[in-house]
Amino acid sequence: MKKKQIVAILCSLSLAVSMMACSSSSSTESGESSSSESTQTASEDGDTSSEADAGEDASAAVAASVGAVNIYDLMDPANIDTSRKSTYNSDETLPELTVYTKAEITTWAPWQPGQGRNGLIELIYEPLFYTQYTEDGFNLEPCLAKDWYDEDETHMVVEIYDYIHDSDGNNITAEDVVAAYEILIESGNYTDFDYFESVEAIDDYTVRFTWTKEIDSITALGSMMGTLIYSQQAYADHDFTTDPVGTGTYEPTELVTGTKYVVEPTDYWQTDESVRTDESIQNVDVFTTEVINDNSVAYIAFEEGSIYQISPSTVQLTDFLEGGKYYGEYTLSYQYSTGVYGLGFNLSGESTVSDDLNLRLAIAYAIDGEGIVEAIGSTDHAAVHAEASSSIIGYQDVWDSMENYYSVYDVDLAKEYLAESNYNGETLHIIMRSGREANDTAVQIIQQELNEIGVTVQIDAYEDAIVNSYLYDATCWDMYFYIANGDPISQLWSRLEDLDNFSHGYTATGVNDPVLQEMIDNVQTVDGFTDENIQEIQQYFTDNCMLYSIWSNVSWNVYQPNIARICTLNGHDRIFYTASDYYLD
Amino acid sequence: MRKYVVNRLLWTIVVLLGVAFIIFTILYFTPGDPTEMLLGANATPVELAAKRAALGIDKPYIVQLYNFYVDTFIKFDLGTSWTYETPVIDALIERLPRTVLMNLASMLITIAVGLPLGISAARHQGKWQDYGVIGGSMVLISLPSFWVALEAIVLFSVMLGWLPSHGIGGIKYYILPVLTSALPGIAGNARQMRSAMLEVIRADFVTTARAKGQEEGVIVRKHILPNAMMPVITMIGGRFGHIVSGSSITERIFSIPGVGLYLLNGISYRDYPIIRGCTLFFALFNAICVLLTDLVYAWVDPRIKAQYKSGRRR
Repeated sequence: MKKKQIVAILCSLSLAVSMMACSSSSSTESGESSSSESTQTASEDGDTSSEADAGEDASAAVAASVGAVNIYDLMDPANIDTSRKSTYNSDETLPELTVYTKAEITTWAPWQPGQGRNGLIELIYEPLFYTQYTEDGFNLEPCLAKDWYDEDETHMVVEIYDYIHDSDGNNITAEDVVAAYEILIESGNYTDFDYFESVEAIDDYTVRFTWTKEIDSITALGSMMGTLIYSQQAYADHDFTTDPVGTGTYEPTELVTGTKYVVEPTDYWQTDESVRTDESIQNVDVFTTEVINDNSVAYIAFEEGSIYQISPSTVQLTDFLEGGKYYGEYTLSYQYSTGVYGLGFNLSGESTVSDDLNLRLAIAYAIDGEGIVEAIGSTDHAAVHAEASSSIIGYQDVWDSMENYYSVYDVDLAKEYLAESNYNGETLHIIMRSGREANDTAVQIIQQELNEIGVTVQIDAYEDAIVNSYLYDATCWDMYFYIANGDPISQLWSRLEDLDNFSHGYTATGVNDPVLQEMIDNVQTVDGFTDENIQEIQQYFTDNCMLYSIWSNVSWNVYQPNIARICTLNGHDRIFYTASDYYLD
Repeated sequence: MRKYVVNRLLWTIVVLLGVAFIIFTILYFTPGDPTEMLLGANATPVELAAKRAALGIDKPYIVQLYNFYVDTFIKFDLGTSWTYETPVIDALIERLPRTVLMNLASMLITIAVGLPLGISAARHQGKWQDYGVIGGSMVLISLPSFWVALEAIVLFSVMLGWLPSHGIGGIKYYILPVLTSALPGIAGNARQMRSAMLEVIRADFVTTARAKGQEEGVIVRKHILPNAMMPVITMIGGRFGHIVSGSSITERIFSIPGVGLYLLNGISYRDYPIIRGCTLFFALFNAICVLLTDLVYAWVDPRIKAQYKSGRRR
């Protein structure tokens, strides 16, 4: 009997240890809960009249309390402390810098779609132009291109510098540009190329592009001009998938697949400082990117000081905030993402909600967007007030003060709309991508809130690779919990509602609306990207209750303390650590 | 015996053909479009179609299946990864040594430590050694391997600074992954060995040996172990097959670019050549391992050897 008791005690101990281990591993969940609880208390105590701004205010308040800077401030050279010695105000460089990437770089080939291209590739290869979106509009920022002009509506002539060379010393000519485009087309790895017909060399350093029609799309021009250029000789001499050679500011010295990538400065071809791009500055002598698949291990590596920066998880972030063990020791930045998460209604005619505006409004007013943001954590999520995040180019400040379902949570109003609708107790299906904790929580809250007004909801979660198969069958769903990315706002909306991007007859949110399509087409043009057109589309979305974006993410970065300024690719998310500035004292 | 081996090798070919058919068919009929993963959200239907054509996945099922069989079994080409753009076989050759080194070392430790623990527990049934092994095994089996790995990193990398926390390099990079992945195996082997020994330890022939006055060590070595080893060999043989497939969790935590992580990435990206190539390679290796396990049976158990020699099945 005694032996059995001992065995039983051992079993219990084993189970307890195991459960402790599991609770430790799922600390993200518990951490988020506690975080949201404290935020909720603060919100309840505070002024409810400013509910609409609560999401962003919460993030900004947290940021201010810990001295975190908005990433745009960290990008501004004016904010460098000039009293300190740095790479900015001296001729010295940082001897070495190590960062990490979660996903290994699968190929070093330059013939990849621009979207998702790894930043390291941009250090090794360069395009004719970078694309630049600013508050002033859309611009081409020349890189290899020296001069360019539109010959007519369907022809563009680009002259490149005659002294460009790659890290092997090969001179880049017009024929190389043509070859790079041809190889890209042959690989099939292009996107937004529907305007592209051909490119030809008209002399040693000049090419002529022929478009299929007049280019009026911002994203298409940017995508086509962003093609990376390399020499045909290097292409013949090297296997670019593992041994890249380009004209960029850095060249690889050690590439260990899936482990680490080391690059060092090249003898850069552009010696004319007056035309060098910000991204081409070479401030780091040895730049290493380590592959660390697991976030916890990356955090440990950051603690050890072996990597320069991390994007902490919600739980890890608390260590750097007020009261955390590393509070005040590192430099923190935060950034409102341009992507949005929300609910799209199926307007294909196949759903209960399709022809019932009252039902859609009932649903929209029954969802407490601010409450959802608080539940999933207002430190790293911010409520949005339109079909876009406030950080996106094209966002209209007037949207922040408008009263509609984005800012108003009103159960009574929702019930009134429901009473006027044709809803007869049918089960509505929300389709979503599985595997993201915050999204799961949000949709479960939505399900609960809709149940409270008498709408029955079933959640159908599918993995990324197959969700589209169900999405493209309009009979399978009534609402789609979407994740949409893009910048400027025209690109974001294009990815959601541009029929040209969908082959099955309606958009990602079940829309096939010629009026909306015309507006979407127009706002994507260089001339049509106006405040008036942007506001018109947002109004159309709201009037018809087509979409309901609930939040955008707030990304946090923690850097070792000597960061002075970060350089991003034309103001976008991709950080060029090699061109950033560092304090050296 | 030779006839038996040849026969089994021929069956291996049939197995591989069957595995190839199953994996190809499953992937073909799985909903979703790999080109959407490759080109991203920006791609238009025309661009997706062009990419499908470039990859050859726009053709009918039977044509694709035929091409796959020809490439794999006649040209011996496992294909080129769509995301890595390198031949799958090259990637396997590059990554295999890391995975095999890690898993083989881990397996040797599980055998070298687990079996003696199991033998000791069985020989001292009901004593503290037995309870120690049982209790320890339960704890080791219950602990999630990723948690053990992270705690090991904290202890040996952060607090003590003895070992690197991630990546590959010298042997020291493999110590933590090997140890953390060996722990559950040690426990499993110890438990299996203990129960196998206990089944034999009171058998008549063991009692007879003791009655004849043989030393306990000789009894264990000559009478108990050979008879108790069969289920253990089965288990170890089965695990041997996993040496090449790797432990994706361990590889992921310690950022070891091995075969397990390669397959995991292939699945994430819906990279069919990687999935098909790796699956076939694993099937081949497993079939060979099972064959070798059967041959080891014959070596350990004279009755089975006699069976092979006579060419009869009982």
